[in-house]
Amino acid sequence: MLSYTGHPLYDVGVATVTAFVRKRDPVMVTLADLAAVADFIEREYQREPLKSFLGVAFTTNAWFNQPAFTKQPQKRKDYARRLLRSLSEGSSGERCVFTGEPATAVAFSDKLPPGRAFRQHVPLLTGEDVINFYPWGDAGLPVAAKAILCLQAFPLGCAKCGGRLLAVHSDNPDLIYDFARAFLEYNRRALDLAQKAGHKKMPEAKSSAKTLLIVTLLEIERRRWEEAQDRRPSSVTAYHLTNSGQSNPLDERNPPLEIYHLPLEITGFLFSLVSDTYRSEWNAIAERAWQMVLPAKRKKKETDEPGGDQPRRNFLYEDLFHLPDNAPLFVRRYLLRIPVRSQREDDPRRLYSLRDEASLVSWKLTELLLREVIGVDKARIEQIRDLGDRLAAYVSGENDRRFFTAFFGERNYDLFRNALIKANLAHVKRGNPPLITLDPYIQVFEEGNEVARPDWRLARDLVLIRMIEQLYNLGWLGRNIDVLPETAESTEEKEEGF
Amino acid sequence: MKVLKIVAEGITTSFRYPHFMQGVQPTFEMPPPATIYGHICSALGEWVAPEGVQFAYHFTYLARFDDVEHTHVLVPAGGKLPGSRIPKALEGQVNPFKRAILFRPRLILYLNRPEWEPYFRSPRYAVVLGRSQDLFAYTQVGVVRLETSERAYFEHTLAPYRMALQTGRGYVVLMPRFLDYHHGRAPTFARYVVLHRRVYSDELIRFEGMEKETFWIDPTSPQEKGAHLGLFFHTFVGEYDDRPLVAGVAG
Repeated sequence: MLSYTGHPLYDVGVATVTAFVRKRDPVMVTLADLAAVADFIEREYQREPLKSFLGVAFTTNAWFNQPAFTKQPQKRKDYARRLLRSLSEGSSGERCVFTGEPATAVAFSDKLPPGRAFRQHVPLLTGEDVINFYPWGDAGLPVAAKAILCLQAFPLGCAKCGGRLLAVHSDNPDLIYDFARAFLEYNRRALDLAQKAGHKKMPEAKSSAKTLLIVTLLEIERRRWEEAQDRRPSSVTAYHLTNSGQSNPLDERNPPLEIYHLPLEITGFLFSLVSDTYRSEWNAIAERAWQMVLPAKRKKKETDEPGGDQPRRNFLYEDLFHLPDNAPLFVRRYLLRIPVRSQREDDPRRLYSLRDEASLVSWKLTELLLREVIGVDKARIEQIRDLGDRLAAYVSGENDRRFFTAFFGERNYDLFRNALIKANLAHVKRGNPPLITLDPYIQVFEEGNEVARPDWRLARDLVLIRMIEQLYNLGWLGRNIDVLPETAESTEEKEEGF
Repeated sequence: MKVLKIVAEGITTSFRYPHFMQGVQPTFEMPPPATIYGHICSALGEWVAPEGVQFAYHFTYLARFDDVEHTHVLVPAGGKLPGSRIPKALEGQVNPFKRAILFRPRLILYLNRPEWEPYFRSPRYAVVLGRSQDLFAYTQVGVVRLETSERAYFEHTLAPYRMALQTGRGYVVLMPRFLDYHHGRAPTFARYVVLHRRVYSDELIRFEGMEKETFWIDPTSPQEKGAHLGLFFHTFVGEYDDRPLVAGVAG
């Protein structure tokens, strides 16, 4: 009956309808199922709390929201029928832009041509009659009867987030379905509670859009991991949108549409993180990245809404959207625990401390990031790890605090290099084999003879992560905790990618 | 294979998502195939038959930003123009729109039609890519002979959707593949992988049962780690394999 086409709004609608009738495969949806969805929409969209909320999806000109219909319920019923129950009404002779099937012969109001949809039927189209952006100025999009029904169901499979809808799409139908089902279940519970409590508004999601996206994706992936389902890498794209006529397109705080991409390298990374191998280390870092609730704000929230003191943003999750471009800062902030003092008061990253959180420094996570997200080849990862091991053994064995301090904090490449050469010479003079041989050194830090790689600081941070982990395990760091600087470094400097 | 290689550069461009019209107009990060078809037809000066035409490209831009445009939102109108007897056909109002713009775009386009070189040396219409005001200039036009190789790198391009699982990078997007101008610009869509970051052919994930592949490479492109730029050729019409490969099984 239904199938995914690749169009985000339509596909989310298809998944929502499928989840609503408790099926997994859209092909299994029957005419009776579609009638059940239409019944629900016709009943609930006309009353609060959905009525006012869905103005953000379909504007106040939508059939259920049209103020002029308040005294003409029969007219509203007629328009609902046209939009929700026109499956057997024949074709207008045009093809649906979403499904490629014949567009419906039914007009969605008395003023409109048959089968043509406008902004009050499909989010982010133009209003009636507007000729811009249509072939030959022929206004409206031709749609099939089942397509317009799915598009009417679409908002139920979205999260209400910041006054807008968050729709999540993927090239993997399972992910589209899982997101739509998760949001639909939340919405139906919220709808039920709101009606019982007499509330006229649907509650907002407790997290920001990007955080909610990652939180939900991690939950889905964890379940899929535990259920040992076949899993193929898939990219995820989220659409955070409002179609409200009240919204100002130039309002930076509430734009009509934002698109967030999670490419294959990030979804692959997240999928690995929910496995037993990485989960505990990752959760420990993620827990310390939630936006803090300040006392004054907590009091205000508590009076406004129950449970409103829950953190709204997770900075780690939100910074995933900037990977791999911001990999150097990501590594310093979250994996090396370098604080960022200049951030807002509610930003937990101001309080990061390598002294207190050395146990969070994880080479395992770093290696996964390098491999999955940044795409560093295996040989180079091994060189970085080996160098970290050798330097950690040297620092611990010789108790060379000065070298550790120089390696950690030196900002000048020449001085950094000199510190390494001096340590190497000292090590050899004591009758040991060289600490660092030329080839690995050049491959990690240089692109030519004595020419530093643009990302040498990132390379240094990666070696440091391995060193700190090893020194922590050896107990040396516990005995020499004062070598770790407490002052924050400026992490805002732009570094080249890896 | 001999192909036409065109390098085109401009100041700005924007590739609108077709169904997001109101208030904000995000841009695709790569030109959709339908845009490439329109561009070719503009140079040739006619709607060429799309059958058999293949293209590959490498597309970069320096930065991305939002611009505010005033769009004249037009509706049909009757009556006369004020103070005249001239019939009024349209009326409208100015609305602010936010449009995502790609700055300093650069396209290297490969076409399996070397015989079209004279048209690109002397294009029939103004050279644009994206909107009508996004003027472009051809900075190189010539014919190159592509080679096949097992070693190649792919970057800043569209990969066919079936490659998604093999690249392990990029994101999947639905794009207009072709607009049929003989039938009211009826659109067809297809899924592609937007691939920005470089991936080498030996990093492509190979599933059990897959034979070793060879790729078209441009031997005149910069050599990186012993590999040249690899090219994924696309078509505008006809068969398109939209099935991802999983463990050697299409499905």
